[in-house]
Amino acid sequence: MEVVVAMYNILVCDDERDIVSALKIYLTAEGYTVYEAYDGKTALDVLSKNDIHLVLLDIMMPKMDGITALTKLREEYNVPVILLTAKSEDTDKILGLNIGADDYVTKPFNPVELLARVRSQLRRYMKLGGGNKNNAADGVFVVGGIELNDRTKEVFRDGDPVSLTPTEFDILRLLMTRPGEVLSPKEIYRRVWGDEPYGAEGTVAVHIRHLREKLEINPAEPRYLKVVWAQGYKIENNIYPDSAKNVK
Amino acid sequence: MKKFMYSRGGKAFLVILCVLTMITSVLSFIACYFLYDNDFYMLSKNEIRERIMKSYAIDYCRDIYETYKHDPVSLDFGYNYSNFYYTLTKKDGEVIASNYNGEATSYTVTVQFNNKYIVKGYIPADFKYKDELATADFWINVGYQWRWAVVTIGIISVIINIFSYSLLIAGAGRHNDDGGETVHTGIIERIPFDILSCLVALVLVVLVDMLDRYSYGVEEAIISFGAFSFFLYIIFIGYTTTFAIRIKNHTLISELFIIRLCRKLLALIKATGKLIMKFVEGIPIYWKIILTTLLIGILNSFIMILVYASAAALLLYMLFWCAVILAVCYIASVLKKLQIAGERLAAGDLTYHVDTSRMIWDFKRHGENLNSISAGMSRAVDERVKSERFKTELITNVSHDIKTPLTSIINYIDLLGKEEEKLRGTPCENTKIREYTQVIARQSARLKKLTEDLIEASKASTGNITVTLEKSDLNVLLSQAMGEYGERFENYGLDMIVRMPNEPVYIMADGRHLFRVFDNLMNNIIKYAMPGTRVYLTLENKDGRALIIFRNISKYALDLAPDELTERFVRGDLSRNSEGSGLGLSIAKSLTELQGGQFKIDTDADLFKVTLSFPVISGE
Repeated sequence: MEVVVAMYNILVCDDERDIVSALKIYLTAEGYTVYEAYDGKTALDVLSKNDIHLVLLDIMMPKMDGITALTKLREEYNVPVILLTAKSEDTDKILGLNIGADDYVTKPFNPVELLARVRSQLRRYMKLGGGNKNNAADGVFVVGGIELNDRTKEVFRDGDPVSLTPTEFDILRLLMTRPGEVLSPKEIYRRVWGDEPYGAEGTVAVHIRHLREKLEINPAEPRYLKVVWAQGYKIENNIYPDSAKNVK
Repeated sequence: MKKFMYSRGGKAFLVILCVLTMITSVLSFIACYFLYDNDFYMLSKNEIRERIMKSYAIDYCRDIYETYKHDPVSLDFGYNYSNFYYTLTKKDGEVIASNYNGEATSYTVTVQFNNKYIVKGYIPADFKYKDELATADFWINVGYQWRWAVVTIGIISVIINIFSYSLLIAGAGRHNDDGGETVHTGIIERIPFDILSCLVALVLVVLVDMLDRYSYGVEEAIISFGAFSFFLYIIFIGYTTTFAIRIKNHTLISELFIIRLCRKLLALIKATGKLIMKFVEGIPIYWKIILTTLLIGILNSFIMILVYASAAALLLYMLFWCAVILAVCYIASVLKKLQIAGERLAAGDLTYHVDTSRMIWDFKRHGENLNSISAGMSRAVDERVKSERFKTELITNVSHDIKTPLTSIINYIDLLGKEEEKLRGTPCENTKIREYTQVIARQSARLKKLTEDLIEASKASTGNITVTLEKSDLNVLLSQAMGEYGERFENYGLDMIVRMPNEPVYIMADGRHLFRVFDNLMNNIIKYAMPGTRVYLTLENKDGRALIIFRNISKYALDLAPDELTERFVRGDLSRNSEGSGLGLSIAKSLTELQGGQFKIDTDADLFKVTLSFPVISGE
């Protein structure tokens, strides 16, 4: 299942021309074809004329802002959209995801992280399709781009295999069987180690950190394996809220 | 019906109808009374007739006897042309006088006088002459025939009277011009009702006086009484009509002359009082007090003199002092109010408002001054809050604007680095370019961190951030932090030692903000702790407060006072060479306080100690 990257067309839309050119350099180097737009209207134009596989969309733009453009875009297309935003407030992120964005990157972004997210979205879009297809009977659990197969003891992130230690695998399996539920370190220790923690629950935190580094594109800002401070840990089951709803 | 009621013609007709029906009803009432008095409703016609005729006969008999006694000669002429017949005899049977010729009679009466004379009276069956008896007979016939009709007419008249009178009152003041919407008033309504009533009473007195004067005979009396009643009724209709109009107008009471007079008087008294108050208000307060004291003294002596003259003045004396005491109490209560207001203002309660409506003169002025102070101060506070929020917005917006060019800078530095990498190993390789790009990359990363911290600091310090307090387990938080930072500590050559109680310690906190506090403190430790030393992280549950204590040995000498360390942009190393924005501790402090905790920094030589303190809640 080798991907022929050159086939993918990416639309970059930002009113800052320098950012667009920089992104073009990065994306072209990865083998993607890049289309440019400097406002929401042009972006919709380009989208209607070309076969676009992914959109990088700025929010604050003249003529038509990113949120409006995204709303219009979602009426017709279900291509992955990654929002580029200078606003780092949670409310902005939630708004973006709610109206149909698949992911977001806050400015100033790290080029490596952005490329990883682009790759992840494309893979999901082209290969896997969206939606949770949990099948406990088969021992297969899927949350977002993470897939865990309990029989083969394999874990995939956006289709790529991830190598985990047995303890890390057990912790992930525990969390994935109960998506969205917050489990305290004590609980996790009891379930995974099968023993009372007696102050050893700090170990759980270390394993979780390792797990996060392996699963997340940006471990400092996890999308799947969330730390609920002073409570415990959970797997986020609602990573792209309502995005599926807007797809026709 | 309404149209008729409201029209002029209809009203005139109703008035006439009222008067007429009143007359007929009064007349029929009188007739009824008369008929009832003579038992017309109980006896048969013959019985009535017999009784009346007999009473006439007895009267005549007496008349005959009296005439015989005083003037026997004229006896022969008295009843020559009368329908009445009589025989006057002595007791022994001797006939003295008679005009009876043996005609058929219907009634006979025999009256005896003084046991000596007997008079026999005869009422004939037919009346030859038109005398009193014939008239009586005629009226008996008529009265009997009409006895029930009179009652019916009376009742109908009364009903019509009441009905037409009601219509008249209902239609009073309404005109057809506007469909009876509004109440129209005439000239009469301009006269105040009490004045009008007096006028009516005067007219009545004059009428009664006239009635008295013109009632010589029975007929005159009847006529003048009738006229009097007629006028009385007309006046009654007019009077009640204007009464009704005033009721509809709601001007009956308010337009009374007495009320108007009282109102004018009250206004006059008020104006005078105001004038006096104003005059007194103008007197400076010293003079006010001196004059009041003098006045009290003078009045007191005056009353004392009166007491010498009469013991009754003792009551006056007591009343006087009661008034003085009441006035003093009033002043005391007002002073108390003002004092409370002053204290509240001093305590910072700017919403406090003194009720000055019951105060006078200087007190009122003082109270109003206090109120304007509080208003002015709240305005100032509002403006400060507003400007603080504006500042936050400004910082946020500016930071957002900085982020866009910063994105380009970071990206192109990265690209530049990549280009430089390509040159390595070629003749064009330049190590200086590598070095410089690395510096730019590092500094732009710092700038990025700084803008992010700046937004956060401005938000946290102004409280412009949502805080959702939840029950949080500090033991869990500490073990999580240990897991997150343990490895990094080791990399920096720091040994982390965690001490916490076995029992869970719960507090109310926002997990995300609480972690942000931890994150800042941990990064601070990594940055400033002396490598190779131990870092102590302790959780204690002491006197109902959870204490989280961070202790480490500083890399640099701590010359700053603990309070200065949480000032924005202050950093432990004054040279500012190291990474970091200098906002970390400030953000941590603001966030801790937003969650209801306390943030305290202690320094002891090189020992740097941060204590977070939160109230503990029960585990349940």
